[in-house]
Amino acid sequence: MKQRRSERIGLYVLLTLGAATLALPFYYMVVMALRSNESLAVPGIQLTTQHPTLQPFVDLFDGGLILQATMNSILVGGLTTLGTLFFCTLAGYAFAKHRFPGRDTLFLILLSTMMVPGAVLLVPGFLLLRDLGWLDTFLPLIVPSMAGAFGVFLSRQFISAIPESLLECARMEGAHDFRVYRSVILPLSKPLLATLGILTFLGSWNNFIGPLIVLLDEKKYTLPLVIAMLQGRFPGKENVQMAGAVISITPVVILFLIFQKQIIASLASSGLKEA
Amino acid sequence: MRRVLLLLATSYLLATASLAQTLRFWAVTGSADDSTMYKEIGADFEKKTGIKVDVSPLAWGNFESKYFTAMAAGMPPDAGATNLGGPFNYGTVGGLVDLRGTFPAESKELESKLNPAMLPMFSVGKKLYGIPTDVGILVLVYRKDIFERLGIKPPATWNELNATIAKLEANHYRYYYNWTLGAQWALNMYTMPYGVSGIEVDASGKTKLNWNEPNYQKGVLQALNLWYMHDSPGKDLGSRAIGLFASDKPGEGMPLIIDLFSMDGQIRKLAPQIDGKWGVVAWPTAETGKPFHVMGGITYVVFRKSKHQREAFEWVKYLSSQEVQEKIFLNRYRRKADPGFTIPAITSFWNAEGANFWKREELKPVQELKNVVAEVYKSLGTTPQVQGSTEVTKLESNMLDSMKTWIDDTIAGLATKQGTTRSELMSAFGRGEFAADRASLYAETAAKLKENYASLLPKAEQLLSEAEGRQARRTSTVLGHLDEFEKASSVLTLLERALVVAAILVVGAVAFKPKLRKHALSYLYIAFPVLVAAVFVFLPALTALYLSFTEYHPVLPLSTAQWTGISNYRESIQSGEIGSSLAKSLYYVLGTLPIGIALALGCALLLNARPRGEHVWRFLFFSPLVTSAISVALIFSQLFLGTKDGWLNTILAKLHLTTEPIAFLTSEHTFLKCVMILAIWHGIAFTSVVFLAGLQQIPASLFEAAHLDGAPPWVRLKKIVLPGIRPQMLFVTTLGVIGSFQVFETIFLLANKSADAGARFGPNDSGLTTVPLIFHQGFESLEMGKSSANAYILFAIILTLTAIQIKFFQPEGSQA
Repeated sequence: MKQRRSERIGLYVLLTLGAATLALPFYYMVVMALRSNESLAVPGIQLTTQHPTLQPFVDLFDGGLILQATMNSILVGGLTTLGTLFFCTLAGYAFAKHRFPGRDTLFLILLSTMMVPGAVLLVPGFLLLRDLGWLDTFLPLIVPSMAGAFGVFLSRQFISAIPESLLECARMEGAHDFRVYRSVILPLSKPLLATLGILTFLGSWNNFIGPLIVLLDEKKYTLPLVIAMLQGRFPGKENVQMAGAVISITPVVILFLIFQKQIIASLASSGLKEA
Repeated sequence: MRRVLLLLATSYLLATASLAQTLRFWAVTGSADDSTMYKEIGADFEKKTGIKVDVSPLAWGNFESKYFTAMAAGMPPDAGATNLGGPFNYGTVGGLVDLRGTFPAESKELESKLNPAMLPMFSVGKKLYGIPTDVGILVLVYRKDIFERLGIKPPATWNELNATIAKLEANHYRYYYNWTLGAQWALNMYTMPYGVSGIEVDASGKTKLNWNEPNYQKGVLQALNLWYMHDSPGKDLGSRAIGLFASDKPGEGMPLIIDLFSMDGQIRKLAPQIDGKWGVVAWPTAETGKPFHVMGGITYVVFRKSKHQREAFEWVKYLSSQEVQEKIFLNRYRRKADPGFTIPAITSFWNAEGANFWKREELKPVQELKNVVAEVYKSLGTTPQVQGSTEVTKLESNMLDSMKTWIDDTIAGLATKQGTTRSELMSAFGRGEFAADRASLYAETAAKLKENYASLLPKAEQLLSEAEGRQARRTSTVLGHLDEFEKASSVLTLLERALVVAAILVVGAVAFKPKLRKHALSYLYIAFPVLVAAVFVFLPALTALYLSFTEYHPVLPLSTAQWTGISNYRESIQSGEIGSSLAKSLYYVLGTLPIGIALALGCALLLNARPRGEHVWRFLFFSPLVTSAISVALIFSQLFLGTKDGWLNTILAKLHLTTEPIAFLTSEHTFLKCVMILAIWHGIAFTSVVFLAGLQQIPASLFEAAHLDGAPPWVRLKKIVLPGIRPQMLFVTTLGVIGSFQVFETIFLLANKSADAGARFGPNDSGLTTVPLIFHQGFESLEMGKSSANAYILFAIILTLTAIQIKFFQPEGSQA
């Protein structure tokens, strides 16, 4: 496809404009996060930072909660992801490759949970967790999301496409069913595991309303909660607040830089598998 | 891997277990340094008594729902520091220890250390639920040098204050109004000098709303005048406000700060160059009124469910001692904190007893402020709290927000009429020009206020009487028999039992029916997801359905839930609350989705043209994808500062796109639009990723053929692109609608809810879309029944919309 020179230039102009608009808030974040407390008090707006300092980060970490919250988020996100990868693929395997009474009905029932908006579950979920004694623990953030219907659905779709003959081969060699899952299904499902893992981790890492309702003790706060509280903990200290934003955004952006291809593929495919 | 898991699990268990045997103290402080301070005091307390104190800070924005959540969960801390309304609000649902009843002698001794006029707010009948500390009052901080230069004396009355402001504005100076700007609870500071408060309880215990009283409205008008009818740069400027206070330049400087006793430390820290050039005076009195000072502040409470009530009360007593209050004062003073000047509630600080303390050399710079506070302290007082006032005050808060928007619009109209800018107009008003405009602004504002109060009153009275009814039932039947209610089984426990029985039956069937036993392994594989679905989706969904037909306060046991039939649904629809929330949600969807999709399609087409350095472009375009809505909203909350001191406003002005700053987040016209801009910005990445994947599946030959045919771009778009990405379109719109209807965190953050006590979901609740409404009712006003009813209405609507969309996109498309 040939393009005229002017079209090509237009393309780059538009790309630059779009990228600049999308990047503007990040630019602000970085410029502000490197500004000293004293320079905040200087009247007028500076669009750049003359004497960058890491003081806002020192102040932020002195508050003490960021480090703890990051650990909490990693713990919750990690366990949720590992659990999802196991339970969802296992169930997906059963739904895709096993035949048993009630299979399709159960699958449909499972799928129907995806239609229930989270907002409906806020109040009763809270009461249930209270009765279970799960409030102010990480359990409600981990256990239910380890076996979400979406993960099972995605797994079933993917595993269905694995040729039956491969499974037969393994069975002929006398492999037990769980071994088939472990040695045939899992190795062949790497793209699925990547997709599911990335989506689950991002979902957990960025979850806000769940921790907001469930966690009471600030020591257990996850990163989004601590970020949301920065306005109150460092009132008027825009630089420290932005340092917090940098802390919460940078790790995932770096992950994105490394796994760009997989993440884009995961998200692009997340809803597009033929049902 | 296994070892890592084990390590994680043990460290988690250790982390949760290590806190078991200590006194848990939650402190609403906001600042990180304050919690360090409390920790130090806790260490001293441990040395003295052997009782260990574990301090957890709470943010001003959500401390109330945290306390309620903890009480509802039956796991509150032992003691807490909360707002002034806390003792009443938590005490009347059985959450707190009545200090007078439980520790009569000691409570009496503690009370004797306080100014008795302070206590009514924390008592219900003979019960006392809280002990005040850290008082907040209004003062004026002013630049002595600039005032002298302009020939103004610091004002002692409201007329003088208004004249002072006029003089400042005539000389192109501004003034700053910090944390009580627009705060409904601060209205008492303006109306009590006229002897009227908004809600009163008379001697017989009957509540009365004084909104239509002329004297009440007179006070409110003075508040509106100071808050909104000048060129004040708004609140929460933080350090920047200090910079402007220190500036001498007309057009920039703000030589007067109202209500900033708390900023004195920051001024000493950040603007030492003006040391000695500024002073403090007390909040002026109204001409016709009496001197009256209403306190803001903090109270200490002890929780009923605490297993260490006695120790917790010891801790509260310790905190309220002269010794510890001195420590608190000096700690904040030395680090020039915000507030750097604590006002302890105990009398001994302010009478002869405290003289020694104030003799300290280091306290010399604040003698003036100390004298002002000591004078004000004598007339500090509170009024009793009124049941049901929370929702009524919310009505008034929202009305004040809408007055702000109305005043802003009116002033903008006047400025346009005179062909000038807002700040120029204010300056002209200050010089006495356009007197007719100014008079009409004041007259119209008074008329508008009167009209608003009159129209809100019936609704408010109804809310009050409903609350009274609820409270009557609670005090007469529930609170007296809490133990019995706690033991009684509830619908939820019945449902839980039913679930256990069902699980046993299923396991039994699989185990004993040979036909099913054959497949036991399959059932085992799917058991966990099915169980999770049953326990965490179906069970709560059923509970919500049940709750939607009841009235239930979560701090009380579920067995106290009262069946009310369809009245939650009926009230929600009749009062229009769900209607207006859904309308806002719909506006949000219609405003974000089409624009978001169009822009994202544009981005996807640009990237699909395979520019050089494709990966870099993709990275730039797609990085918002992974960022959390909360962090992004935090950034935008600063970009959107709604005065000319804001970043985005500065850029817009520099590009000559605007002449007046846009009041982004503080006007009800623009708040939700800002949330939508954020949503579009944040959503473009995901949508373009999906579109790009679709575009790449369209055979290049199709484009080439079209190119050869000379088909113009829009024809290519219509004939090739749109049909080619039909499945993606379905996916993006369906998900977009569902997601947009459930928007929550960005609104939560942009409304400053984590930092501001009493913040609504945007000015005049303009961001109260559906999920914020459900959250507010469930976790802020604690009406679990209403919240559940609205959640079910939302559920029905989302289901319908999804069905319509699938039908709309289905006929020609694939089987997606």
